[in-house]
Amino acid sequence: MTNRQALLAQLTKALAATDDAKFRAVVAVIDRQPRHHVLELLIAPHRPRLARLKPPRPLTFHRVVTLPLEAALVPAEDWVPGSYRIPRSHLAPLHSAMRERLDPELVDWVDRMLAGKTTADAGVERAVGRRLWPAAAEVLDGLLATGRKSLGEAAVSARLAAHLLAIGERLVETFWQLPPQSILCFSGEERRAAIELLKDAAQRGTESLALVADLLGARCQSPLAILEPLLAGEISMSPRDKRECADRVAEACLEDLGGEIAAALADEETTPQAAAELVLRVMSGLESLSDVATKLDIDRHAVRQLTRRTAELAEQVTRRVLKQIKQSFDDDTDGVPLYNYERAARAVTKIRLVAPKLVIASKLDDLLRCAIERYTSAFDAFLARRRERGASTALEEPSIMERLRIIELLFGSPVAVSLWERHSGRRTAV
Amino acid sequence: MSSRKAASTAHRPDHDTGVVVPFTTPQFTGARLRANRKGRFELMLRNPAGGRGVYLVELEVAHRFSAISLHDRILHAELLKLLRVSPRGVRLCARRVALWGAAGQGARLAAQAAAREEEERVTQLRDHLLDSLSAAAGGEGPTANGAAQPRTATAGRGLDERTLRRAAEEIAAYGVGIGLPPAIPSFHAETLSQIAELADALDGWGGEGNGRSDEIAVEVSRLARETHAAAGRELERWQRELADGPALFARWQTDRAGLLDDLQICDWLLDGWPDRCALWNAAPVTDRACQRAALKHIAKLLPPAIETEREACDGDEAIDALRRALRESTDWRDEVRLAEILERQEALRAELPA
Repeated sequence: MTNRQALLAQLTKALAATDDAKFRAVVAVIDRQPRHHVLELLIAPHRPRLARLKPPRPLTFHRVVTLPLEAALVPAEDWVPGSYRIPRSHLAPLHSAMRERLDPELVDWVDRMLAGKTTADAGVERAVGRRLWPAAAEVLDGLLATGRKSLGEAAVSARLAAHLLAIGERLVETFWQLPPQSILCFSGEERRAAIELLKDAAQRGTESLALVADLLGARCQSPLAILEPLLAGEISMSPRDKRECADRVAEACLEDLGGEIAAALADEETTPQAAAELVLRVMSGLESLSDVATKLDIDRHAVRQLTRRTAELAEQVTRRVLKQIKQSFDDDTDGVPLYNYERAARAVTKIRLVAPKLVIASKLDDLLRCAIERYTSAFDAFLARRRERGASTALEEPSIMERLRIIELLFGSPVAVSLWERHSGRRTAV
Repeated sequence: MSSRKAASTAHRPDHDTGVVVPFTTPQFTGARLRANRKGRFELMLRNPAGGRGVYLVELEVAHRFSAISLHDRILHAELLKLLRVSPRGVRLCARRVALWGAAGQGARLAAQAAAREEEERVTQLRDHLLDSLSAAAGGEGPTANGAAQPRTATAGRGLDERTLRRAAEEIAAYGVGIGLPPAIPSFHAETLSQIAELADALDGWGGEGNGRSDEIAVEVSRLARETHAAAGRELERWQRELADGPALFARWQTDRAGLLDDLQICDWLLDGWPDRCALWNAAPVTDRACQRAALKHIAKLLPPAIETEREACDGDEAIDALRRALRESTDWRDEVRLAEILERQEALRAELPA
């Protein structure tokens, strides 16, 4: 490792340890430097954090032209050739190619418009993009037709980038309109926006449609939620082409989910939260799939197998969490504060809610019913032990309230409320 | 200017819109507590079906909604102990419940920090009041820690030292939000500056063709500016009043209840705004989707239009409506969404000065 690499690694590690406020401050300092693109290397490994915090950053030609591509970008090491994704390492050659071949007057205008603006200036970003994106798409289309070789490896990404830039404005608007979290299902307004986007994409052909469908699908809790508007018949494309496109999205989705479930089952370190999110995503995907099953060529065996494996993961995680929390629940010394388990307990709540949709619903129900009895008895026993010791048994005591909270998170509010009412002598809810 | 005159011209907040209660149960989002015409406490709940109008539920029966969270069940029990509805009363109840940990560890720590800070400012304000009284009576030196000076200060007023201290404590406890900058920072001034920031941000936010979100942004900005102007005036007025310790003590002797009510005018005017500002601030400035979600949530916290109330709806009918809405959302995805809303409401509690 060279000195520079070692220093870079050290700084990256130090940045990872900083809190959000300091991280934002460091980003702001980097952005103020004249040669900030060199220092970008420092924050490059922290892209997920940047995406979460979204600090205002200076608007530049590169940033605006990349905006419609954001949803398709992946780190170079995660890129799978042939997928509908663009590795970040291809951005630099694409940027230079576009900047070189664009009308110099347009480039000057863009630079002038962006001077001193930040990503918080959404109006400027859109106004510039409205002129820049179609022009950039034309440049890439031209290059692909005539000077493909000049793009080298990035040529494969240039095609995808051209599709996205050609519908840049609609794409950016639609993605801004979608909820921040992954989408369970589209609301009416979102669905309409998604269909309009798919329509625009379809005008450039099946690849463009499949690409946009794939990107929208990746934003959905259930990636298959996108299949419904795709198949709704409102896109001007032959039924065969539409079906082919939908089959491809469905197949890719089943493969992805199957891979994720297998990885989660194999990895004992998977957090309950991540496992619960995955279970929800799979169930949501399978439900959407069943809604459009008659219109698609779906591998039913793969669906059954995926359901079984998901149920396995749900049960495994529930057992693990219940056992782990119970140990601390019975520990009077409060060695590990119970609030540390709140996130794990919330994960079980989510699994409990989706259980009826899994084939193990009754098994999981039995498991939870037995656990409720064990936990409520343990709660009573805990109070009795405190009473014997002469310690306060007031329900407001933190260690008592923590236990009630855990019961609420694991088994639902009615169980905890009824326990609280019983011990506080209040009227029981009906 | 006498304090009596100040009180008589003071802005009168609309008590009919009630006080925002920081419930965590998703179906209770934006619930407001008020005293009805018969003096009984009732909750104004948004139509659970999402339509127009509000439901009026007597506070006594609100806990019968089976999906009520543990935090809300305990808060409900605390609210029942209140003698009057006021933002301060509701805030103290909510803080107590948060301190017990019913809304999680984050909210508990936030409540602890808020309680500590408030206690410090109450002490500072109390000392200032005693000092100003002592100075007016010709006493010297610090009075807050000594017993002799207050006695000097009370000479001729017929108040013993203990009563005087109690008066100072009480005025300070009710007036702590007002503060006396720069020596004693004002909680209300902090809220006002957040409101101004919110209004500025929303003024520059709209016009992106976001339909309903744009409308909400305009409405919230308008309300924010109105609140800022009204509460700003009242805050200035009451900071002047607080600076005049002897006049306050005089009024406390003759019109204690009126004085304590007037000290809460800013609390009424600013009620619910810290939550709205916290919701907006929690959304990153460059994340429009997140900001839109925040705006929709903020809209639920705005006071409902009184003319849309379903006055005829009794508690049972409202509880039935809530139950129906719950039964209708039997889809597991809806239930997961409700669980996530509950989690977010609790996280928000940790962001607020409880």
